[in-house]
Amino acid sequence: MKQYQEMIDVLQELINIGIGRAAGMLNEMLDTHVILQVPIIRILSRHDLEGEVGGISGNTLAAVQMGFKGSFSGNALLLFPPDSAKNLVSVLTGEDSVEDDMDAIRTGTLTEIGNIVINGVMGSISNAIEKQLSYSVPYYLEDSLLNMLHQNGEGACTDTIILARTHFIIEKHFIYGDIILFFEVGSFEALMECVELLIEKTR
Amino acid sequence: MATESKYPGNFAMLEYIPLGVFVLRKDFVLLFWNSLIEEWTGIKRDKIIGTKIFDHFPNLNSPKYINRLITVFSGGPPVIFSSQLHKHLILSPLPNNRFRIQHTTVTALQSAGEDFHALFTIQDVTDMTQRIHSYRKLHDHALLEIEERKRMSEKLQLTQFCVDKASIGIFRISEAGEIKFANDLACRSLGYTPEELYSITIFEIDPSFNVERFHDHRRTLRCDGFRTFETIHRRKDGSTFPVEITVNYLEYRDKWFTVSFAKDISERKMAEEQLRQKKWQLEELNRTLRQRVKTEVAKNREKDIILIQQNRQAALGETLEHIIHQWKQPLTTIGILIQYLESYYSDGLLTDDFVRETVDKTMDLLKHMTQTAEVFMDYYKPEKEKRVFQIKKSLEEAISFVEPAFRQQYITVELDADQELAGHGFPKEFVQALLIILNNARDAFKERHTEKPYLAIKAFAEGKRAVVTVTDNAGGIAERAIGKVFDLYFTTKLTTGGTGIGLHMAKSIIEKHMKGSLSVTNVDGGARFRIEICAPRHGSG
Repeated sequence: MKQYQEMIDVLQELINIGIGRAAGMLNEMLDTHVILQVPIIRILSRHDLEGEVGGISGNTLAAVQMGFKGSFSGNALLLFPPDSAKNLVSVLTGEDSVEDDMDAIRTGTLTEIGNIVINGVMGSISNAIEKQLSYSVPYYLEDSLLNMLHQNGEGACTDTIILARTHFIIEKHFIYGDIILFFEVGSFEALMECVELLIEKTR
Repeated sequence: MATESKYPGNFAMLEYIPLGVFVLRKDFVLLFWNSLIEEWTGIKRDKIIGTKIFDHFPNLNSPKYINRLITVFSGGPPVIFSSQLHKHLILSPLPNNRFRIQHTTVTALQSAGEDFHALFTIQDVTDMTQRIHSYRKLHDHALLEIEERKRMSEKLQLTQFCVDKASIGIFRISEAGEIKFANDLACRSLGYTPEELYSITIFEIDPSFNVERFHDHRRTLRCDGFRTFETIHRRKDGSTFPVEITVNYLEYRDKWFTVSFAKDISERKMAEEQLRQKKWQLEELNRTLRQRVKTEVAKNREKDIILIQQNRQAALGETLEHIIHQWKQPLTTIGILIQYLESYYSDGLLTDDFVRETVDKTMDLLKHMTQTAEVFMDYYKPEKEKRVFQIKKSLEEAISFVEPAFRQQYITVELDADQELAGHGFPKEFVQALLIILNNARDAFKERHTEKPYLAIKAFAEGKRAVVTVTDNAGGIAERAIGKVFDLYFTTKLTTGGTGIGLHMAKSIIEKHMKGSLSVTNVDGGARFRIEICAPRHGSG
């Protein structure tokens, strides 16, 4: 049990590093100070997800999704709660107010933001465990969380979900919001083995 | 086939993708440059392949690009450069002096060895972006329009509400005389529901209109634009009421229509009728006024005559009283003389001298009595012209007239008059007025049984006027009566035969005949009458 917890701690560290890199990347690119807070990591079953994400699970959410394959496979899903999505687009595009209507320009912007965050985390994990993964092109989608996970769950080997929830603050514009990162790991055990190997190597 | 020979491996098929495509090696040297991007940039592939991308697009030589691309060269996840945040990754001019807007995806492409190349696929989103911007503008415009329509709708509703609740009847009438709209008051005042009104014509509520007249009315309206007229409206129950109509002939979007404002003028008509009646009454009054004035003047004259007669009688009574008082002593003396005659005759002492002496004395006394009567009567003869007279002398004459009567009541009179003080007016009438005041005082003393009755008479000059005050100690005049003592027929002496004429006459004499003033005030223990008359004009003597 202790060893499992240790592995989770390492995973949390890796995701935290990835989020940190993503924040640095965003600051560099957007010329504005984006703070991404230390994420809270949870390992969940699909069954537990409803209780964890509470009220937003049935709402239509904006998300960026990217699949990955290799030593371990799965989907990375970055969720923007509706207000957060609008706030982010507003500050990044300079629009005074963003309507609920997310057109292609706005979704393109959110896709890039999601891409930066997901890449930060995936890069951090894959670099650390020194395993090569192949990735699908990230894309934007709007649906309820349950539907998104249901679609991705078809044919998955496991129902383990890694949930990383972080909070972003763009100080200059007094804008803040939440970003929820899901990793549906089809071969969670394989990931954990990789993490275990990493721990062994560092000892 | 030529293309395939040009590009090794998988690159050849990238030529056919409808996207701008190029491939970078880890050292940022270009390995592939497809025809489409060649067309977009105007840079031929033989000029760019084998060179560093920064040589052609220095904007890419920036940490914000390099740091993200490095992960791709190590086989990391794809990188997206969105059109909103980057717009023109590879500058690609358009004929309108703008640049192609691009959405770029960079994916890792495994090379023959361990390394990865970066495959750039660029989507031209210029048209889509423009369409989205146009759509946004339309959307914003539509939102504004919706907002404006909402505002207009509210405004319209408010206007409709005002029209419905207006305190004047409002109608819209068609060319054919149909009622197309009527507000609440219009319906209420006519006793119809809106639906009932909309199913009838103007001819049914305005009996003065028929089709011909209505067309004439419309013709006039077209020329003048508006009309105001009075007519009658008929309610559903058949009753009628007068209305004032103001009609406006208006054009709205090439259509002509009329809006009529109907004001119920029942009250105004009633007021006008009342006014008309009053006016008639006034005219009638004016017409008969001369006659009425004549009648009233005649009545007043009659009253004056009665008043004069009453005054004469009163004056005569007072004169007689004074004459009797004057005559009492000589009559007594005459009586004694006659008794002496009888006694002397009985005693045989009657002599010629005694008889002659007695006759002479008697004759003197009779002569004095005659003169006394003449003097009194003289004072009641009318005077024709004003003249200057000595106030003190008039006062002394008046006092002498009442002196016997005053003596009988032990009334003390104190006279303090300026010897030189003169008045201008009618001296006999002045004495008459004084006598009225003195007799009034004597009556008051008698009625109130005043102990030590006392009259102070003062005469003095005050500015250009001569002033006489007569002050008694009879207790004064009651407050409720003091304002009325000069009123005709007002008397406090009803039980003792007061007529209410005396003081009224005195005031008339002083104020009307002599242009002076007569007033009365209560002073300590009595009343004070004050006469003011004009002093003689300078040089008049």
